Amino acid sequence: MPASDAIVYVIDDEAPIRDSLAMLLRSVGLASMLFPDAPRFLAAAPWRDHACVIADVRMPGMSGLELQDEMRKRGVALPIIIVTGHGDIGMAVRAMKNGAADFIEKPFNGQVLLDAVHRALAHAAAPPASAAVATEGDREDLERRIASLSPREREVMALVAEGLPNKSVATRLDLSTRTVEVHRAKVMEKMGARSLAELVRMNIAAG
Amino acid sequence: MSLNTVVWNVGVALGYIVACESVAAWLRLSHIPPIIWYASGVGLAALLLRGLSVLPGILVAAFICALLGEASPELALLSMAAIGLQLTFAWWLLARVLKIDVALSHVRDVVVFIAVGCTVVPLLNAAIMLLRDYLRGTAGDPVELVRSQVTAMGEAVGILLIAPFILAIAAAWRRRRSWSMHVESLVLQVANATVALVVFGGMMASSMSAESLPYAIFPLTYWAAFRLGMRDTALALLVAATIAVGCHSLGVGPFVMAHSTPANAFAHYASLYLFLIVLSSTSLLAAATQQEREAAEAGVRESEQRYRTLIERMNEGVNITDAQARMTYVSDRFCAIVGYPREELLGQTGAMLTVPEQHGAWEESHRKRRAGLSESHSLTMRRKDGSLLHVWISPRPQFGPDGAYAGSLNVVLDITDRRLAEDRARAHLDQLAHVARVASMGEMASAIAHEVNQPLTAIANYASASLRLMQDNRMSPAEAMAVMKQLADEAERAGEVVRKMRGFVRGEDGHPVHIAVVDLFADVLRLSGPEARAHDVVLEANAGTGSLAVTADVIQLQQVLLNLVRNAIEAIASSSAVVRQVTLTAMLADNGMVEMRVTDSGPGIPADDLDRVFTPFHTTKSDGVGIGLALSRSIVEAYGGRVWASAPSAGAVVHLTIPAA
Repeated sequence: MPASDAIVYVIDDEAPIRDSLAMLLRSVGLASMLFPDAPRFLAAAPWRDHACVIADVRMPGMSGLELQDEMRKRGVALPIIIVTGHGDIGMAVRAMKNGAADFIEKPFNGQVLLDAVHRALAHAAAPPASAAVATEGDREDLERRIASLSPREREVMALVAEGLPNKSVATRLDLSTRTVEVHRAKVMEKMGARSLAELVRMNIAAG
Repeated sequence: MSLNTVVWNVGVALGYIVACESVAAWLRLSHIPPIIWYASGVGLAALLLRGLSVLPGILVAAFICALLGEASPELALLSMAAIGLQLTFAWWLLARVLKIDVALSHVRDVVVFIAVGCTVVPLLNAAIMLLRDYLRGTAGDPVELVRSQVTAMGEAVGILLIAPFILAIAAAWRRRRSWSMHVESLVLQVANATVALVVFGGMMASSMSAESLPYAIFPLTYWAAFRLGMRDTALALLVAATIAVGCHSLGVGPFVMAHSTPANAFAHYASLYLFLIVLSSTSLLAAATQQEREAAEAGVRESEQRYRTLIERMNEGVNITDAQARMTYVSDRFCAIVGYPREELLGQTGAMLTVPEQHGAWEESHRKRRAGLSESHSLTMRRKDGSLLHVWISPRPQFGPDGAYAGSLNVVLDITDRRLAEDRARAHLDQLAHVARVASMGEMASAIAHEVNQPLTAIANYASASLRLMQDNRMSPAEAMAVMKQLADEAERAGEVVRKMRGFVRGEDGHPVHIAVVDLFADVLRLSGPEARAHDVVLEANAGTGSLAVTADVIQLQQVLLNLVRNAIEAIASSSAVVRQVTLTAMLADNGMVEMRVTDSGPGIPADDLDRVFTPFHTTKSDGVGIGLALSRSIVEAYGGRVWASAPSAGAVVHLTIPAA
């Protein structure tokens, strides 16, 4: 594993979560700094260019969303990965719209988290110009994929990307939950999204 | 002195002179003593109508008349003073002492007028004449005595005839009459004059009995009295009497007899006067009686109209029911409240308006009314358009003279808006408790998920990291042991969460106390009431004997019942059921258990689902977690009870048993 100058800031009020995340990151050669809450992280202000933040959405003192706002106010442009518990998908979607790099649902697969961290670090390291070009290419690709969706699938995608559970989507569209599940799987496949977070990101990018 | 007074004085003076001179002219023509004297009646009526302000006119007229009667100025002044004294005294007695109504609208006024007005003036007049005779030294002269008597009676009759006529005209001056009344009045007056001429003018064959003939005039004056009022009566009397007296003085008519002696002469006049007094007084009394009755009837009508208006304008509706509770009267407002037209309500009972679930309450209130209890109560009704209506009814039972129940007068207030406002106000408080308790089931599911997620996440992270590190041989045994310890700790933590949850639903956190089922149901009704009403659902509870009680944690048991009631309301709300009712019942079951039932009129539960509804995460609701009934079952079973569902022909029933206290 190549040593890297990259560092991941982990902010979670639960020690076992922090420790296990640190070990997981170490297993792929990533350094980490642990903080039990957002104010202490902000106070330490350990800003480095090649870094990203993993923050729980629900924390005493300051929530992940508030941390996001506070960082923007201070001009800190580090990518943030929001970790959510049960029933917090709506908050996570808000965080994404607010500029979060990603969100991950607890309990999560280690690989999914590591993928998200790598993506965020790559984004943080990439020069702005190339990022813009990449976005241009991505954009065409995205539009092509959205065009391949049926009208019903587009409706399902819009609601799912708002963070609504399948059951609520079914009620809104007057469909059975089973049908929504099928549509949702189809949307994920056609859009090439591996996670809900990716779908949310695509939906935001597509406007 | 105002112009008005001057005009009145001149008018009264002219009237007096005309009344005086018309008789005087007649007397000069017939050369007999004045047997009827209208002038005093005119003067008295004027005084009664206008007061002392017209006295100058009367005095001047009396003076002029005396002069015209060829009296010397000294005698004329004396006559004027005497007339002024007589009339003023009579006026003072009638208007000031006895205070009669000058419209003669009551029998008392007529009686007082006849008894005082027609006697005081003639008696004073007679007294003055006797005094004059005494001063002249002619006292005791039979001719003069008869003359005095006849003059006094002529004056009495004159007052009796002319004064009521003037007073009646003045009272009825502005009263409008229909055309038919005018025609009837004309016919009557013509008939009256004709009959008077026939009777008193000696135009009848002599074979007719002279004594009974004058009675032919009575039907006409009574006709006037009962049909046309005081004015026509007075006019008919005046005309008939004038004709009678005129004919009599000419020596014709039924009352004419030889009058050579003074005694005969008095009788010659007296019988006619007596007849005229009887005719006038009875006819006037009849007219006054009729007038009084009409006024009373008008008063009753007016007061009835007033009460009717009052009732119709009241915010409350009013209905009157008979002994069988059928409506015999409904006010407009009542019709508006219930939304039915009057004709659809009359003859029906209030049961037709009451929602089926409240028929029992309606019958109970009917029973209470029969027993004479006027207890106010509320009732839920349905308007014709189907909307729910809450009313507050204040009954007033009525009993017949025999003591039998005759019906009830009921005041009905629409309290639907008030009830809704109360609901809204209370909802702020109740909703908090309600939502907190009912929602806590769903909240708990979320909390459990969160609590369990934390250790699971840590475990997944440790395991994933260890895998990688071990694959690359980058993990020392000591390090591995530390991780294993962490994994065990986290697994232990997850287990602890589950244990805590089971402890909660077993009631280990609860504080079992003695709960009366009546109180429990009352709380549930209060907390679920707003939601039930919001969905147009009638929520009722029957706690059985009232002495049923269980031992459990109040909050937990409330939670279970609220959850069941809420499910029932939601089942009805999601359907288009016509009967929308949720009923809580309780009874003592076998083996020392209390069985409670939540019965709803919703779409029911499919037979296949009956066993599954209590399974965790089984839900038919789009926004449900499917844990409410499962937790309910856990709680009930923790107390050694049981919960199950059944589906009767319509609706659904959830049964639960809790050991009796």
